[in-house]
Amino acid sequence: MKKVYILLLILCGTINYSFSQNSYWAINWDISTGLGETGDFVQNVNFRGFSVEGRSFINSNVSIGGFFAWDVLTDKVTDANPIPVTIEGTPGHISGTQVNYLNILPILFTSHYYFKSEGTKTPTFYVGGGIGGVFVKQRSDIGLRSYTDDSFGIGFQPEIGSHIPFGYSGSGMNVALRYLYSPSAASLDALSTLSLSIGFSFLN
Amino acid sequence: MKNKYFKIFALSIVTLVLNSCYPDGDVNLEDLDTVSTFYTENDFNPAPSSAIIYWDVAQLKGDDGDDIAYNGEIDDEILNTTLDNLVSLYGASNVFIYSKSETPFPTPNNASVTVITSNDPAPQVEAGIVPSIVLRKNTQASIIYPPCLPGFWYWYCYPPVVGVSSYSVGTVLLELTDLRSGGTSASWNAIIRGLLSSSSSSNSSRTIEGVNQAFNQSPYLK
Repeated sequence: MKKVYILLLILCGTINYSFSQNSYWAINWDISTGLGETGDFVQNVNFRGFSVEGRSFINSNVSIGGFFAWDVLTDKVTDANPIPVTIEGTPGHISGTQVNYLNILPILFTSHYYFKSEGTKTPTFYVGGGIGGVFVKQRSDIGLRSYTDDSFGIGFQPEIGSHIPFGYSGSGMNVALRYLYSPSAASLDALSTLSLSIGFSFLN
Repeated sequence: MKNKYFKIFALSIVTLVLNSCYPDGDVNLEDLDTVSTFYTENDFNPAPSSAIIYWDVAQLKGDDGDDIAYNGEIDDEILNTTLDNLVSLYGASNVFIYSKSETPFPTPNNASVTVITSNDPAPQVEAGIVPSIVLRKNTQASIIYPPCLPGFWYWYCYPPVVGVSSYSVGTVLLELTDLRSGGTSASWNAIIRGLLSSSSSSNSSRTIEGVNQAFNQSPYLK
């Protein structure tokens, strides 16, 4: 959690810097789903998530900035395989309905390239990516027992998106598709998620 | 001004993220049922090829009398589902029922299985299985219920090896003892944990599912 706090403070500074230059910032609602091993743990699409990002333009087409999100993936698995366990040297298995939770908090430094549109009413498309830390907290409830684990590791997030302006003002709607990947860290499997972000954006 | 408010917003996120989110979902009573099985590896190398089931569900009560009311409502499901699984594992000719009377109650589903009483000669069986159900509410109470089972060469009575103090009320226990070595400790324990509800049909179906799952997740029994 200390690493999360430090990264968040650095992020605040980056976003603060972006306000004093030509900038782009957005607050989004994230719709996420797990892929690969993450998809095996939580199988359905989840609607609990938000992200905040701020970017500063270093030239007319390129920006750098910061990104933070908090996505919650949860799923109830009724046909999970029995979990092998060993208690006091005795092997065995435990089965039952599993309720799985994943709290995912990426804190990333980002860079994007913008395909500038001619007028201000047309969308501004962008591609980019982020790199930074990802904190993952995993919990699995079986019956009245809970098994928890967490990890903090490096994360990578390519994305494509668009700023769709409202009229001639700088405000608009941000729509983005993101893929987040974090290699296996601590005792957790590799993380792989796909998110659709929809939110409000401000382009100065 | 906008910078200040955004910084406050961002720092408040730090406080929020210290507590993760575990949204309450749609969790039913059945979702809290679990089946745990534990075994002694050496006793299943090789696995037994025949078994006898004690045709009575031992009621594990506390010394203080603070037990839930139980009149054998799911005895039929426990015994017959266990019997069906044993027959599936070893074949009807290798499975025996030990009953206190010549007409066992509840009635066994499988008429091909031989019923043994204390008046009959002991069959040559390699494993014995004793079902029980936890009725005591006080988890610190001791357990006393000594069944009598045929040994490999003799009849003997011994206390159940369900030496437990922390099972939830309503838990069904199955214990399989390897009789080949004359041992008295269980080689296989199945702990079918569930909450007895007020719905008899729910209790019945969940019991059957739990016993079947215990055998399904124990392929080493064969």
